[in-house]
Amino acid sequence: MSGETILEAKGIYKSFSGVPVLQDVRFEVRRGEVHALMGENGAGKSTLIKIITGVYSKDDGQIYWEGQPVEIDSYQDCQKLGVACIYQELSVIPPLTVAQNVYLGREPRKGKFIDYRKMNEMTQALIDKYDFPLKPETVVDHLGIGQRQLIEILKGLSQNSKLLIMDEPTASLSGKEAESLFRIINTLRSEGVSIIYISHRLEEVYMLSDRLTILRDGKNAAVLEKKDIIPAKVIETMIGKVVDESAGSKKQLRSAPNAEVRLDVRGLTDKSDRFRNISFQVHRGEILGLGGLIGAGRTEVVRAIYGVDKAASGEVYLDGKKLDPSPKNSIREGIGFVPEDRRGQGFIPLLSTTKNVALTNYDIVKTNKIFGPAGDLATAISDSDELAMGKRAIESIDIRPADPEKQVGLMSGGNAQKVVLGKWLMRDLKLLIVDEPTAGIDVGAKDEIYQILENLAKEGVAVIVVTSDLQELLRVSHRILVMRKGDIVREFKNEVVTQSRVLSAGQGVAEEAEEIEKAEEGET
Amino acid sequence: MKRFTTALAAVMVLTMFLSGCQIQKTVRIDPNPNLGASEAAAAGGVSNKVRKDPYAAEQIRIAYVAHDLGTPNNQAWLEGIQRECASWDNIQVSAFNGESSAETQVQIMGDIINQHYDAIILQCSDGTALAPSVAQAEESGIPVITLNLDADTVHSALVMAVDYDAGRMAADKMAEQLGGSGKIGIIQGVPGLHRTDNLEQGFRDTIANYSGIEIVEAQSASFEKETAITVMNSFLQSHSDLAGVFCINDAMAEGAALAAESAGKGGQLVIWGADGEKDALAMIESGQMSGTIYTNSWDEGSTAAKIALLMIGSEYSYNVLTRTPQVIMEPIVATIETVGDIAAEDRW
Amino acid sequence: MKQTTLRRLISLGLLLALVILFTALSGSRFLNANNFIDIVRDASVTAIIGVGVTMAIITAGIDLSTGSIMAVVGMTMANIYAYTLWPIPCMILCGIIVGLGCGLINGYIIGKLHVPEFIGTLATMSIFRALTYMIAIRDANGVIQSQPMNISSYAVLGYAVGYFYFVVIAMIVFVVCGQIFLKYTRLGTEIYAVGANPKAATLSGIDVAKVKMIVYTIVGFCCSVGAVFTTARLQSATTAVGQDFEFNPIAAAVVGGVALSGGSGDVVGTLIGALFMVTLENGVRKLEMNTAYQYVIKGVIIILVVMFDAWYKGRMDRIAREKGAKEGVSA
Repeated sequence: MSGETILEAKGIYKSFSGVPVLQDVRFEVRRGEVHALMGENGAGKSTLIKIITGVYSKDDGQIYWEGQPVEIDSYQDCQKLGVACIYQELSVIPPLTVAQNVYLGREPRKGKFIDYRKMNEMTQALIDKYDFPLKPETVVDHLGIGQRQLIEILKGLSQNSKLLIMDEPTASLSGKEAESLFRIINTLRSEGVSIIYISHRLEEVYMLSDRLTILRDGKNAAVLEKKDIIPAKVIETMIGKVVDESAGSKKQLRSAPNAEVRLDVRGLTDKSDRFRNISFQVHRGEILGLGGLIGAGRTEVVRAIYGVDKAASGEVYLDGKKLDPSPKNSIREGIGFVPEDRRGQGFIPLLSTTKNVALTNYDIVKTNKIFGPAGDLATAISDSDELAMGKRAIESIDIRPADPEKQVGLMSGGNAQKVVLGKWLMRDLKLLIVDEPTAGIDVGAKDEIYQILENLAKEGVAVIVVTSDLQELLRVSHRILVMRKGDIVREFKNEVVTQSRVLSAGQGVAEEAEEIEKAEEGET
Repeated sequence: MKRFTTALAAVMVLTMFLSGCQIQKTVRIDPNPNLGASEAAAAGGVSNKVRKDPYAAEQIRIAYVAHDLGTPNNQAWLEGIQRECASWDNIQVSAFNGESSAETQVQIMGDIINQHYDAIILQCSDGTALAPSVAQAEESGIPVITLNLDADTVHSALVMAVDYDAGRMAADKMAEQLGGSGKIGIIQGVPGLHRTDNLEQGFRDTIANYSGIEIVEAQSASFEKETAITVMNSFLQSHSDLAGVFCINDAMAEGAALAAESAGKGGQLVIWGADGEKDALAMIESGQMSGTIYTNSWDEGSTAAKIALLMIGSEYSYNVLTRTPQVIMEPIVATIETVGDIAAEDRW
Repeated sequence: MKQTTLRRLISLGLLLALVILFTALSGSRFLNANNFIDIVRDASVTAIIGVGVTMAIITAGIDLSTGSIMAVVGMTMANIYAYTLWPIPCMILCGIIVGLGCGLINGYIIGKLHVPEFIGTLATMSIFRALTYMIAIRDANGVIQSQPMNISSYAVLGYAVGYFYFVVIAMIVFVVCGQIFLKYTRLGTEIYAVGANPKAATLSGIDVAKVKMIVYTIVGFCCSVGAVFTTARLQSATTAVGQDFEFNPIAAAVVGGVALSGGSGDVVGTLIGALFMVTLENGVRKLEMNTAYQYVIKGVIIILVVMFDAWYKGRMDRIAREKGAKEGVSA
């Protein structure tokens, strides 16, 4: 029964406000296969899935289900066909039992009341059929993330789903949980259930999938059969350039010699195990790139250094002085932080450029000296000094529009990011941490931001750049650390580094790339 | 659903109609008035009262259930009661705070009856609502003396400052100060309380005799000074020629005076209150307020306590009565001329 | 131990601790059958309204308008009592219809118009109270009066049969039905789902707006029944009816283990919470302490249980993660 096509999407087009996201994409899943879907961030994977599940409407193209053309306008439509999506942010309901969750909204009833006995029996039957490590009566509250995910799968199966979509299913699972999941995926496949498996983790894809579709810049890059799924080839296809040849995919890293250590992180460990025993140093005038996949723990590490989240253990030294990380202390000691979620955490959209810049700097804005010392909460703020600071920020990094009273929320992404950077430039910085500095920013503004970072480094500031954009990572970094699942797995310094080597390290693939590296080391 | 919405709309409209139009109230005839006799005994009902010598018995417990213990008036009454009982070691006075809520008072009453206190001095937040509790207390042998705010059932005694007459006195004196003509307003207390309603009624009935005086506004400020300021401001805005205001209590009169001052009309308006608390008397002396009806609340409290002790020692109980005996405290009209007569030690 | 069990033990423990404390301090003045009957009676209206409020809080909402709905219902009945000779059951029915209507209005505002629960019911709280003033019984001068409602066929609702007051019987019926409704009907499960994870509920085909509308209508119904028993006990209706019932049911629910974040708790817990609140009032009264202390204690207890809930939730999340890390997926 396996082999025939169950879902086929042909000629799919989709654009958001004029920007094409998917162009003529073709995607096909067969019965009883695990079909992986890969691509860099922004390649269009999520958009494609959202079109299949009815969250977005497609601009053009046709979807066929078991050979018949279908229109999917809502998630309910796709459920009716027999497609279930296992969401990344789990949609189980903690206070209910496993069985209640599986049959939510479709509970078997006896008269007016829910027939719990029958419901539990039905759930148990499903559990037995697919051999899930669950009990129907357990309250979900007490279950781990992995088990919760299984409930989602079970829920899909209870609706006789023939196709399960798993979006980064192992992102928040521990190793053991992931192993159980893989076992269950294999069982499902042998039962004739098809699975679309979206993951950044190449080794999983390699191990599980029967076929692999790769998207690049919203277009089909390749559909690979199992025998063709070879890491080097996959990475090559994803990046879209023949490795080591084109500009921007290769760089000679050079660390500044003999620069003194600015930041020294020793044994930093997270409370909830998102990163462990992280130690590294950053020197004066150095730009350190922190690479790895989303969810590898990079953002968590820099947040712990800045003090937004408290680490369970470990120490942070700045210029040899031990820090007690908290945003207030960090600001005082000269650490700046540009967070990942710019709109949510970086600036205050309703306030003007001036106010946004001044907000972090009220301790240094000159005051009227009537009420108290600078920085005191009761101190009156001198409007003119504040305005002067706003103007200084606008001039120093060319924020447009150059109106100090303009609400930052109304500015373009690039200029808003410059405002966020600008507020740190008004201070004597020793260390600047930027997390995904150019996400959603146009190319021109990107270069300006790189320029700002480089200028800062020249002035002796240490910079940590967290980015998922490989090109960016290579472009700005003097040295690169790669994280994977909460550990630093590789350091690249004073050597030639390529996108594929960084990507391989982040994905835990140690094959050709490593061999090449060894060969190079042997030569030098 | 539609049928339900229609029914709902019908009921709403009906209620509005009923209350909007001045339809005559109906009198419901109780087919079975003794059904609830266990709680609300009618006058002449049973009593389980046992006579006790209040000055010799081992222990006498008197409960004071206040409308709101936070007000000066309630504090003064409590102090009066305590002073009266202080001379005897065996008499213990407990104060309970009704927090301006009839529901709370009813719960407190139930509790007190359960514990067999010897007498209750009560200020009813709602005379109708408290009636069953008062009847139940009397029936179980606990004499109830109400203070100012009556209960709608026959009980041992009501000690009250004059209300209807106080309204009359204030009206006459105000009319005199106004020279017999002008526009005035009334700032009301919490609606539905006997005392406030009676005060207002007495005031209105008397003002009606003066053809030159017109009541142009009447609004509630819930006995509160802050609210009275707002209410007074709105009076002054809509009537630039407002000549005076009568407030159902002193706290509101104080608020009204402050509002008049901030409107630049300090001392020009005739502002009256009705309680005679210390602050109000001082404001009369300074000319900020025009007058109040002073009652010695300490005296009132101690009178209530005296009656309570008398009833504890008496072999009579409420069931010999056909209506509640009333003890009326003598009021003093306090104006700038007479306020000096109220001695400092009588100011509460 | 299951969280629900632990939380139930905590609220029962709080109640028991209070009983022991007051017994130690007041002896038989507190510890006697009459007093306990009184406590249950006084807690009944709070618990009846608490049944509805519990459901609202389980959907991660809140209802601040409960006291005002009671007042409107009471005043509607007072009007019918004063101006018509309709039979008493008919009067009560009208009152309940108005209560349901108020609840439906809340539900519509929250469910269909998507006004946040807190703001929506804050607004209707003052609207319903104002409506009460508008339809209040007045004398010829327009002065608001307290309307006596002391005909025995109505007042009987405030009395007892044997040891059981009617209001207590009603409360037991409400709590039992409420508990069965929440735990054993599809709609009950949907209420938990909406509160715990509205996104997931929508994905499971649950009509979130409809669930919310039903829940707030139930609150209105509970309030109207509460108003019937309150006015029957007071044998009168004023504009002040229900002033304590804005926050007491919410406080009772919180003490009883209904998390304000939604998705957890049940009606039995709220009953325990209501008993706790009334026991506290009763005991403080026995001690003849300033009533202000009672509010301080209430406030502190509420902060403590909410802190506990937050701490416990964090702990469970951590345990869930660690469990996954250590054991993998196993039953």
